[in-house]
Amino acid sequence: MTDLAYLTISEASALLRDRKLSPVEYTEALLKRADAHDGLLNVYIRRMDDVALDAARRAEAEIARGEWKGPMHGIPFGLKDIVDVEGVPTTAHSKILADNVAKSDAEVTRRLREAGGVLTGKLATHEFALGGPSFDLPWPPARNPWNRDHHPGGSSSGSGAGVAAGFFPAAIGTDTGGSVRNPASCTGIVGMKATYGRVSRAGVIPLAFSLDHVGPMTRTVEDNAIMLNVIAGHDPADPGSARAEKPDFTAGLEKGVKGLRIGIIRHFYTRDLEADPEMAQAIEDAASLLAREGAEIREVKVAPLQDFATCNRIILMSEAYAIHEKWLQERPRDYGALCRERIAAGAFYRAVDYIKALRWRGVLVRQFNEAMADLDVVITASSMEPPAPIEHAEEVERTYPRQARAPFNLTGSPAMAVPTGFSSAGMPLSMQIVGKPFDEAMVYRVGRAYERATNWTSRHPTLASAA
Amino acid sequence: MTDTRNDSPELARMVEEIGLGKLKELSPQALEKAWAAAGRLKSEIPGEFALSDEPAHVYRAGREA
Repeated sequence: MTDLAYLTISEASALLRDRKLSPVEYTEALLKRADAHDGLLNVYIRRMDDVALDAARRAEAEIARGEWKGPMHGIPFGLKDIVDVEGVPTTAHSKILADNVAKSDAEVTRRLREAGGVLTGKLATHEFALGGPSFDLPWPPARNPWNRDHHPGGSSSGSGAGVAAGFFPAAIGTDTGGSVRNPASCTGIVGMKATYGRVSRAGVIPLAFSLDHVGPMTRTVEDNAIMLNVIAGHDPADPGSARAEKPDFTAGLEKGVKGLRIGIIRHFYTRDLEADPEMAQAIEDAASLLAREGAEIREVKVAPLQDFATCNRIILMSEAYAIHEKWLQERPRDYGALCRERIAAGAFYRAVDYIKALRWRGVLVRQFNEAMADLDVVITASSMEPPAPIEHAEEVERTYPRQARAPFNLTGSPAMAVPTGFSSAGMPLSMQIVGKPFDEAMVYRVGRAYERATNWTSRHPTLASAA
Repeated sequence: MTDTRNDSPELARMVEEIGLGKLKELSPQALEKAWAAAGRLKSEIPGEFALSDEPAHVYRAGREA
């Protein structure tokens, strides 16, 4: 049998459906892997072994009765700990919510469970999906499986680290300024922030209402499309939920890029910020590869990255403060220092500043959509450099904002981080593929063509044991 | 924890108004940094908008939504 830890959803699903692999055996193997290695990676905040094994046994019985539910049936997955699971605390990795027991499942939880997915536990995050790697919280920060001395990105840090480490093939993250795509970039996996409104946020602790997205994190593009098929769709419980038609996101994966018009936003990572040379070269190599595969590559200019970043930050902090004001007034000691300081900034924006930022957002979105008008997708950088050492606070603080992800929280565009290789130090490199609203299928199509030609997603880290 | 740095009168007034006294007591430097960060970002907002530039108030990513 292949190494169960690194089966893709697609591979595992075929084995499970054909009863060549038992969901119980699969789940037990992945839980044992976490037993052996999570002491060094801190992926899990809460293991849910009993719940997982119950779900696995149920899946086994259903499949045996011929009631296969689809490709997530019997597949283990993890949830960032800002996503509700009935009867289980949703802590946001914070002392503030340590006893916050959820009354019901979030919509994404419900959909994944209904599809037969096997929830293995709740995962580390930056505090309230906002802070950074912090050592003053009730749980330690997740670490990068490629080198545990480095951070795994965030804020969906446990989701990225756990998928890369082979603890589960799928996880849910959330993304308000890049928090699905950052850990995907830092851990060498695939992370999709679908179009705003595509995936329900009901039952997910908000960070900033108009910027929050929920997204799938997997090791391959196909797996990501499989997961989005399950979690996407209108939900009346989410006021931002779209009624857009939901295609089968796996249907066009193998169509290739011949004849597609692909923009490249170079100024984000060459002029607005200067990316690490290896990171920048990997994007240029990707553009060349896509051109060889038959795409037309065009350089595109949009507003400076700093404009998007500043606008995103003002909106994010203003909305976040509206959520956190009471706790920050009454319980400031219960936050970690990093999150506390970041949230406090939101106290100093006036209504007029917030409204101006929203007007600015409208202008930036319109300009971006005009630039995208005759393109199928654009590619650009995700992070400007590989992840920094986790205990080097100044370097983490310096490099975290050096990213090109926030623009697409403002525009609401589907944006996916895909691996583009490895640095000379062995850390993952990455880029983003960004599409038009509700055209995730095109983003996946381009991502899959690139993945098929490079196969970076088939490489996995070698893990040290905790014991 | 105490901090002997001189408070800006404006910051002190705002902290009082918005009820962040406990935070000021705990970490005055954090408040000063947060205030400075907010001021820096606010200064980067464009000064002029067209009258037709409405806020993206109820955000929708596309006509399909």
